[in-house]
Amino acid sequence: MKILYILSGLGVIAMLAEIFKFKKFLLPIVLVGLLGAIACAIKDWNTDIHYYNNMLTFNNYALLFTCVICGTAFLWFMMSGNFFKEESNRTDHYALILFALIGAVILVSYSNMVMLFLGIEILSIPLYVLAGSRKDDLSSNEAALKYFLMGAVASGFLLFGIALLYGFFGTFDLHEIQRVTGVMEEWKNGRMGFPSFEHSSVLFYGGIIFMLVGLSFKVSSVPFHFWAPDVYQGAPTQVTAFMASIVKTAAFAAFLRLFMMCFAGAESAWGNIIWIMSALTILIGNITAVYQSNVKRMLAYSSISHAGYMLLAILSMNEHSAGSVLYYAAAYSVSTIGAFAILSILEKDGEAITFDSFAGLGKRNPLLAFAMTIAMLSLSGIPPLAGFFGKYYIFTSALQSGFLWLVLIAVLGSLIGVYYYFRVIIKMYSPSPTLPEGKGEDVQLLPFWEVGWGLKFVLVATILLSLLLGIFPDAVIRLL
Amino acid sequence: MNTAVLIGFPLLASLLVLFIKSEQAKRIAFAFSIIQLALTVYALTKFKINAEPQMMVDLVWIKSLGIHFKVAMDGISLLLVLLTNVLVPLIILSSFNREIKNRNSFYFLILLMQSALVGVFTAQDGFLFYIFWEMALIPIWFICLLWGGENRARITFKFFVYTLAGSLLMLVGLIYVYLQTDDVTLGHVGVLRTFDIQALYTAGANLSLAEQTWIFWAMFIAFAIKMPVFPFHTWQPDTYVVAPTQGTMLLSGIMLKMGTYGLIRWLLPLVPTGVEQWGNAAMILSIIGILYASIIAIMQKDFKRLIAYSSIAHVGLISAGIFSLTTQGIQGGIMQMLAHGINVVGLFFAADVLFNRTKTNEIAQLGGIRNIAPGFATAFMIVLLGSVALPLTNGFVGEFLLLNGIYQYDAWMAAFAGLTVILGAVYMLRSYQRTMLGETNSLTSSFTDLSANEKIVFGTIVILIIAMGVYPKPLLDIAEPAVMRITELIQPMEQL
Amino acid sequence: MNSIVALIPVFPLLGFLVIALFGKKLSKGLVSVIGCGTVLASLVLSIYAFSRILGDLGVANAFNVGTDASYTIPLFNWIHAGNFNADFSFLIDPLSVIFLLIITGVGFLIHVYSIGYMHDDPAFARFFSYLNLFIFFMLLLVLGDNYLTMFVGWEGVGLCSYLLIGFWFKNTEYNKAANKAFIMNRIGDLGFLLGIILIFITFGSIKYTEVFDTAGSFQSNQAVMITITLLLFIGATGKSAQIPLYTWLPDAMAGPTPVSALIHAATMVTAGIYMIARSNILYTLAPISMDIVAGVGLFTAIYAATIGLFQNDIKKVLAYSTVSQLGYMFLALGVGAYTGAVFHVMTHAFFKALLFLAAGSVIHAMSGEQDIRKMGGLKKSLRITFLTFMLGTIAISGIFPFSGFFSKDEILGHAFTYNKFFWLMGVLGSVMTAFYMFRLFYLTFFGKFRGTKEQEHHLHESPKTMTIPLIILAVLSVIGGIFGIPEVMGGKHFLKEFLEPVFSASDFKMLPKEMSHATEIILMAVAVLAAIISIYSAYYLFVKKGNLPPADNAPINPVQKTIYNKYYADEFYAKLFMKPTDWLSDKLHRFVEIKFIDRAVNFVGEGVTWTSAQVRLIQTGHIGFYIFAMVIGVILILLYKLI
Repeated sequence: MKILYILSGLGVIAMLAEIFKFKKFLLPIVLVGLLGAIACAIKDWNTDIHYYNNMLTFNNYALLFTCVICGTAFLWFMMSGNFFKEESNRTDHYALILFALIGAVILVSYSNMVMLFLGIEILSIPLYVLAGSRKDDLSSNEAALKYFLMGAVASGFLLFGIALLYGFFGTFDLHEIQRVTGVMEEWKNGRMGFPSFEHSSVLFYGGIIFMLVGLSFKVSSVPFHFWAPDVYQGAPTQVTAFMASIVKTAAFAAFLRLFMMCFAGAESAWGNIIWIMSALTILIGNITAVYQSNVKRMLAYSSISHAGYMLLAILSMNEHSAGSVLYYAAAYSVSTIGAFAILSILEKDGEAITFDSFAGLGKRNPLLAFAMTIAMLSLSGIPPLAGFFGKYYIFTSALQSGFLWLVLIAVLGSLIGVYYYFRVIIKMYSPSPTLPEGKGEDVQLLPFWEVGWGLKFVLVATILLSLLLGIFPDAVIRLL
Repeated sequence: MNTAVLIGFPLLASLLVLFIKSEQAKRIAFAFSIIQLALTVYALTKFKINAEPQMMVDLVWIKSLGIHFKVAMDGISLLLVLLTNVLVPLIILSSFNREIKNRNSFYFLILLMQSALVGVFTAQDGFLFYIFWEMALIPIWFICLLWGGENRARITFKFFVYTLAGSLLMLVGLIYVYLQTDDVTLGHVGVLRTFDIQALYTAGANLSLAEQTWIFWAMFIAFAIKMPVFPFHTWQPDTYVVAPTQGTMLLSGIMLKMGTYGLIRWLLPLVPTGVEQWGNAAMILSIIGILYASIIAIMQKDFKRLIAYSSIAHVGLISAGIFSLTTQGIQGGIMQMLAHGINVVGLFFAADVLFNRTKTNEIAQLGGIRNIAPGFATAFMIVLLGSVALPLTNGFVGEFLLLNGIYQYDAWMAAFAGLTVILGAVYMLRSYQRTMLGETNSLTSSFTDLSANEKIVFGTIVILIIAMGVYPKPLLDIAEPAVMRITELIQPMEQL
Repeated sequence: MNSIVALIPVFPLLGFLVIALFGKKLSKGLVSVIGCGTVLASLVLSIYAFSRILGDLGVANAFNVGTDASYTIPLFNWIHAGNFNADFSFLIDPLSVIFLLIITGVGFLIHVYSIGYMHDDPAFARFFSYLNLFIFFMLLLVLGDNYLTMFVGWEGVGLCSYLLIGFWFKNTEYNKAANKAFIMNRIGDLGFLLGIILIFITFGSIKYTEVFDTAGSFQSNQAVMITITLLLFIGATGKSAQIPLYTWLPDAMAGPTPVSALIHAATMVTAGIYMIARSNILYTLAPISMDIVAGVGLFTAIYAATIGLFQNDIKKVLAYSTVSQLGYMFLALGVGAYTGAVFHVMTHAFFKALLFLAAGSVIHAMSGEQDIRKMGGLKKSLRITFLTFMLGTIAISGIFPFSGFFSKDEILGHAFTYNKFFWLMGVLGSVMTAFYMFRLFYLTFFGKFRGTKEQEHHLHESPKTMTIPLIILAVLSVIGGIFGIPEVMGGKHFLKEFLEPVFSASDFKMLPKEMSHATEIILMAVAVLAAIISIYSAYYLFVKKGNLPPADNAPINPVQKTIYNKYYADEFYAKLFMKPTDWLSDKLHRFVEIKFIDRAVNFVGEGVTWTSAQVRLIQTGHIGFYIFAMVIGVILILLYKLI
């Protein structure tokens, strides 16, 4: 709970900063605040506290995801220096981002469907604004509009689903629902009298399905993914980074929390659906990414495909699910932040970043190239990087639940993934028309010192994290 | 002495080399590789000849999943580690007076790969094996990408994806078996599984035929791509041609052995029933590969490509011998792995010397070199004799035992596989005659004989070829107990 | 026996190493001393071994006790895998000793001869290093106590043959000949190799003694035994130039003449005979294989002889005569006359080496000319060569009492008892032999000189180093017969008794067909008479009438043309094997490899890109469509779930 206080406090401070003219100190304050939040989370470890009669429950699950989110946010603020530098009214952006974070934290800690809905809205609305924050850029505005419209539809579905389930269970409280569904199987066998079950099962199934749809939209899984590429491409790079990393993490946390707590028993209701959705997401995400020439758009599709893998983890619904989603989200966020950081360095005002923008980067700036290489290798799941273990862990838990074919599809997907991730690497290290080989000296160098200190930090951090997470995964997964 | 040192040292060395920007990098890298060799020899002296994996290091790595950092060497592993650590110094030395841009990263990658390779050959934990397996792939891919010839991007990428496809299949297979394991060693709450190789063997052997079947194919294809066995080989000739010579040496000399080693260690004992059921098919593929590649090699115009195809033929024989499931076959397979490793490196080095002097590997454009470079000609001839398996060269011991094993499995298969004895002579002698004999031409007239470091490389190779051919007993003795254990593990069920 | 005998092959090996490593620095004198000295040392040791064996046999006979008179000298364990085991150890017994003597004896003479013959060659040292290496491998071949060691020597001599045929490696034709020799031998070797493996599988060992002991318990004509023997025989046809693998031998004449004498006449090509003689018990147990061996041998003998009739290259004639004589030896083996075969190996080694060396001396004198149409009348200027060549020619024609007579007679005798027709063919062959040999002899040494002027005044007898070996060999070719004088002539067949321990088992198994002394005498008489007649006809044609073989472009009748062109065997093989292989290689690479397999692989990649290009079109960018798609999705799910 303190975490929420801290974050909202930061938000308010951010808005005051405009008035009291301490903009320049804002970033440090925020960073410190985030660290504080993480500290609180660690302090509350193993204390399973409920707030507002079970509106929120900060169990370890919530705390861990909070840490991931705040950590990612920390990196995000580090990399987004230019974002705030360039833009005019930056304090508003600070505030918006921080409020979005509040939404994210609620999403990982809710234990009441109302809070779920609130969380999603608190998370989304600032993003609708931020997506359009580059006012003079048409694509940015378009992105904002698309995001908003479709988001609205999705929220509608979600709300409807909640309503249906309320109609069935007569409560919003997850723990209540958990207790009921826990014995659901026995109703089926008719051992326990529950007269209204048979004809009210429509409520139950319908409810689950509509919530599923709403959440699938947030995690951008096929066929509710259409917004993602356009929005990711249109929005300012930093905002895209935020959506790709933090929003996804939060949304998945919420997704998993709901399904693990409430619907684990009723897998028959949603198993096949997620099976198909996961397969489609992995395939379509990866396959479509292959053709892209715009790297931001490529990353958008890649993030879709990663959603597919995490769905696989939710589907397998066993003791590993939470751990694997957590780990995967962390690994994925780290690499994504790294990749987008480099994008934000490379992009010169407004012009799109294609694969060619990476040509010869290996010469121009070895460290950038190296960081990008690590990010790409991790995303494509090459050992010993974090991305690999994430995939491995998900495959294992899926196989354990007997989804052999789905795993094979996922394998196929990650093979296709290699195709476009490695295109970046090859570009960076192979000679290109713009940079004839052997003329290393008269290539315009992009020296390291020109990169902001924040970005430097982020790059190094992402490299180290992807390695450490990959080599010592137990440090994370044994927590759940 | 423990195995982890042999993995850790090159890793450390690689990082050190990375920070030496000067030309000195090559000498220091070479020094490191020599130290590594010394360590290996020391391990050899400490090795006791029995079936037990020795110099074991066993650290819990990912406790909650029963994954260990468990490395150790039995005879088979030891021999392949030895091969790796003998070849790497030669490979580094072979690059001394060649034009190579930013050497430090070049040697960084080579040493990195060496570490991964040693890991592959010594891993006693399925997960660890897979990690090393992939880690070996990345450096070589970068070597080919950064220092390769024209349109390397496409070719090396194909090579990468192709091999990765195989490895991922293998991963799924391994995980599947892993999920059947039951770990008694660390029974802490929640986790009752382990990747320990012995546990995997037991678990795998108890699978149903259907399960064993698909696992067999999943893993066989992974190894078949790596070796490569027909028809999974098409990445190989292009890659060998486009890669820088040192890369080609690493690929053909050592990396290829990952596949054959994988067959022995990670396929035969893992799914014995599957092997019993499908080994025949694998064997037929291998033998088709032998003939197919040998015949294609005959008309090759590019010498490097010719060697590439000959290598496919050799490795086909190795895998056929291994699938004969006889002691002779597997022993021969191991001997041939060592022999082929040394010979093929010699051959590619010969190709490199030719290219370095004449800037071409077109067989037709060469000729008459023997008149002016007798030293090179002799060394080349001996390497060639080794690769056509003349008795008293290293090639013969392996080839004889392999054919012996195959014959025990099926006479006709042996007869067909044996054709490599003839075809090998055909394409090797032809190419030697066209490149080295006859009158010199404008291109070769200015050919200079071997330089000092080239002499050392060839000298070592020649000595190894003959020494291993005349007195292979020590090597065979080292491998014997481990091989015996494998053969016991794969006895068909009814015989037990 | 004193294990010093193990040094027999070591000396030549050392010689090889020294000359090969330091050859450039050493003087020609030193090189020749090392080269010949090492072989001489081996010869001395071989004689010692021989005497020991002889002694043992003598003792055994004196006290009338059986002895196998064989010694095994173990060196080291070579290959060991599972229950397979191959030692490196030597077997000294009558058979190997005989071959030791032939190899080191003839080998030594030819080394000495080479000093003179190769004197002006820049690669003098290389030549001697190769020769020594050859001697080493040849000795290994006959000394090994198991099949694998024999195979080592077997392939080793093949290598040396390859190196020496292509000795003048600037000449592409020679190199091609060398490749041909190596590859054709390889074909045979594969058979041999498989044979060895089958022996191991059948008998659980490849050691002669163990194999033969076990073999004793086998029935006659068992399939496995036939397979083994035939596989081994394939090896023999390759090494000993029998049909169908003979074509390499004539081409092998590309090598320097001493090489032709040593490797391609006296020693290496007889390895096949040694192998079968060594495995005599196995063959005795497979009569079918025996028939095949005899048949192939006989056919080769005739076939090669006919080709010999029309060749004009002095060395080619000798080459085909070698092939033909080897055929006789296989005939002998086939009909169970193992002793006869070995006997003929010995005598043939004498007179064929002699003939080649003499021919070499002629070529030397003619400054490289090999075409007998450009020779003639050399008897004046090359006295020694002429005389020695004559003796050799008489010997090979099987005229009493020259060595050739006795060995050939023994073979024909056995052939007669085995199968009359074989005998008849054999005689026919020897008739042809006598004819083409004397044709060669007359055309070379009689009549008037047909060469160029400068050749004529450059004519000279060869130096001592060359003539002395000629003389010694001439003597041996004359008196070589005394080692096997048949009882009918009141002699005691020394060789038969000497080899008795090796062949007794087989002789015991084969029911001996005795024939009366009268028949035997008649047979001899017939053979000799026939030979003399054909010699006279040769004399009549080429001396009396002074006929000359037709010039290359002269019109000749088709039959003669065909035979002159060796029945177009090379062209036939080229069409049947080489061309198709190359064609297949090319096609496989262009179509199967690139157009099919590789394309299939690439297709997968292209497929992904293509699909991607299609799938991405769904992403229209129209928000209306997106929402529509969402709704459709929901509806589908609902349908799926609720109905």
